[in-house]
Amino acid sequence: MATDTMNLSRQKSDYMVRRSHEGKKHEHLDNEQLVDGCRAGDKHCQRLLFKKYRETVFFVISHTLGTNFDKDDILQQVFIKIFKSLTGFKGLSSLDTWIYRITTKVCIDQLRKKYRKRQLQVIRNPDVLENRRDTTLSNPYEEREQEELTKQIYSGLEKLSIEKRLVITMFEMEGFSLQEISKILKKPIGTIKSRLFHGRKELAGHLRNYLNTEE
Amino acid sequence: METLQNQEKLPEIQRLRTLLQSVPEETKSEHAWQALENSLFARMDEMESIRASGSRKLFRFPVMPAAVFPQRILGIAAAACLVVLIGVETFYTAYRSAPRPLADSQILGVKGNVTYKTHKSVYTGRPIQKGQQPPYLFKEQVFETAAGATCIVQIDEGSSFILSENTKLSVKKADSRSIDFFLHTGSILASVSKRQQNQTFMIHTEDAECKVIGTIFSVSVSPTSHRTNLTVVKGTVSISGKKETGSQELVQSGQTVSVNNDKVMKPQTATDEQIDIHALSLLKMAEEMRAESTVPTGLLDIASSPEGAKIFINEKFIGKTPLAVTYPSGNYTITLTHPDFTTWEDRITVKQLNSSFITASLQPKPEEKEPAAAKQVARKNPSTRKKAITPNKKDKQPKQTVQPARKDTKDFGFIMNPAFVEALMQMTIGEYQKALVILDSLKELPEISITEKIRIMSKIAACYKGMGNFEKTLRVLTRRYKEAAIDIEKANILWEIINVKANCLQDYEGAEKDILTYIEKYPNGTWIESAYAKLGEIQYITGKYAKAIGTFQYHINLFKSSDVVEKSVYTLANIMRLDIKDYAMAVKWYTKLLEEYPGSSYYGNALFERADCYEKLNRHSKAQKDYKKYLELYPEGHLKALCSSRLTLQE
Repeated sequence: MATDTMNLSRQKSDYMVRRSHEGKKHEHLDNEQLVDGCRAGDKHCQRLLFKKYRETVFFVISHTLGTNFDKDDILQQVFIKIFKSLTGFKGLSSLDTWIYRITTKVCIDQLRKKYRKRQLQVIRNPDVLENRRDTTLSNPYEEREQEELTKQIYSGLEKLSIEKRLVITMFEMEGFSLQEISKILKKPIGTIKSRLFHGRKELAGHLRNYLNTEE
Repeated sequence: METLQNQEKLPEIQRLRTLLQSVPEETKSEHAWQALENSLFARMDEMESIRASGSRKLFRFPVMPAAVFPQRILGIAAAACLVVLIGVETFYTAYRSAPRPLADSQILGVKGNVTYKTHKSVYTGRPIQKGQQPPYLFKEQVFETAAGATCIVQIDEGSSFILSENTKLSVKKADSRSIDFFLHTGSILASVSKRQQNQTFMIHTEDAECKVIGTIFSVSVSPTSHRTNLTVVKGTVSISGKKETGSQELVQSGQTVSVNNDKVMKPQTATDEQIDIHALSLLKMAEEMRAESTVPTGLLDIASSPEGAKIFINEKFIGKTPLAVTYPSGNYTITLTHPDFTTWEDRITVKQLNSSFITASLQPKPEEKEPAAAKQVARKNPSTRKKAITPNKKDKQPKQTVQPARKDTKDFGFIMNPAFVEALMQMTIGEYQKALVILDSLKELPEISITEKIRIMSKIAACYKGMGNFEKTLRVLTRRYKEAAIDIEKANILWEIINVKANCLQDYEGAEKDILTYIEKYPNGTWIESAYAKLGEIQYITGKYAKAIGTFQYHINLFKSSDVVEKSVYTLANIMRLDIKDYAMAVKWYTKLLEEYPGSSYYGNALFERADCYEKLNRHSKAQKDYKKYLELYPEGHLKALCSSRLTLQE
């Protein structure tokens, strides 16, 4: 009966829990060990690496690309690229910088796609959506307002060149230092500063209505 | 830097920075992350398998803009591809049409004094041992049969010949394209399957050549006159004189023709004597023998206490106990008789690639007037798990005889060793620890044979399993697996190892590896279907969705319809719905289940789940239909409330 399938999913979740415990056993692994494991094709290490960097990569993607992209898909692309290219990682920069670099590269590729289709945000997990509906904030208007603002910010960001947009999101939204951005993007610090300066100016122009409201 | 610092002091820029930092970070629940992680690794597995299988995706060229990729280069590349393709095609055609050795050829039987050459040496009258690598039929090979000798040779699938006594035959050519024999003297009866267009089968004699188009016929050359005679039993053979051109006859079935003074005479009706019935039946028998070797068989291991009882299967004597034979699968009546003991009888089922262990305890014949009901003990080795033997305990009383009882117990085989029986008794009442002590001591006895040791080991494994000590079970099973000599037994032990690993130890990686070994080594094993299903389930449990989907699909295609397949279809649909979130595919699999397995126990669930998928696909009317159908079919079903609420919501 259906109990067989229920058993199967129970076994699956048990296995996943066990795996996550096993993963915790390896949590003390440093980056070097993680990289070595991933290079050897160790699935545990790959999962650990994913767990360690998933949020960071996701934030970079969502800030850089804004809405209108299937971010989950892009996140997967980033990690596939990471696992594939790890053999070429020489350790000249830190693993973090290297991962950010790959992420930004993938994001740039996405943005550069001339005939890019505006992809709809794919709802990966309807359960999450349902839960979110249940636990809606007490002030829905506030949330709606924030949503609208976010939309406008991203539309302003979209009007910038990819280079400027990247620097702005990384510096202002991700909190990277200029030196870090210079390392990740492999550009001289002067270039980064100039992009930031002009990018801010341009963006402020696009979002003028929102910047003046309070004044 | 100064400019940048100055810029930061501007209120507009400060406001911009605050605005940018106010953008909320999109978050995901742990569950969503887990789903994403699983989907990523499934995607990677899929890419891996595509790369490993060398699929055509490997040949996907990047499409470059026309400006970067001038037409000239495109033209050169296309031409190069064309040249390569033509080359490959030519090579493949040449490779396909090249004559190959007759891999299926073998000498099926030799009787009397036959001389035949093999690649390495010349044998004279050596009988063919079963299992011995038979020599191929090859060019320049010569067969010679002495008086009273016969030799049966298989040429390829469906073609064979038999040489009568006093025959000498040389093989001029023997490959997949042409077979040419030269008959010096004697007689050959050949049964030849239909030849392809480019295939020839010729028998030359000094004065004639017979061309075959798929038939049964015999050619003989008289030892005195050296005249050729051809008799066709079935089909048509063309015969032509060698020296006189244009002398050719088509000989039909039931006709005979002789060559006289290099001229082919007119065909005549063959007499019974000319059609060598004996040789024909021999040839048929040899072919049947070969065909029989492909009949599914199982292992029958019969032991009795005491040993030496005569074994009759369906009243046919097959040997004395202890005996292990491969026997065609089927249901049989097995009877064991011993002069001093009562007759033992039971029904058995021999299953393909399954081992059936029978241990019969023969009871001494009762004293006159004191007939005691003898006991029957017929057990099945637990390793086979399936009910291969079904002893009917109640109504099968051993046949009574009136001879005096035999008291001598020295002959009792090990299997009925009282200690072993005691251990079995302890096991049946759940006293595994006690059974284990006995079995451990028995195992160390110096006089026990390897077969007996394997039996004890299987019981030890069962004890550990009963005690919940699965690691030990596994260790014992692994040892048994290494020691087992027969493939069927090995296959069954491996299956048991897989079950212990997957069900008891949750060692899914190990179980997966073992299942792959099982599939590779025992593709006709008893558990092959379950093996595919289990493999899919394990791959699903371990989050290898792409692999699991592939396995399930393969399983469904391979075995078409059975309970196991039905479950696989349902599981596959669920993976698509819950894990891959490909609702269209999920609908496809649910529909398959609903249409092809209307009596399925998953029917109700599948109906509801398909409706759920339709909803996700915004096909609300279809969803409504399914919900309604569910309520109609299962008014008290466990999904009743959910269906009703969803229907109300939609309406």
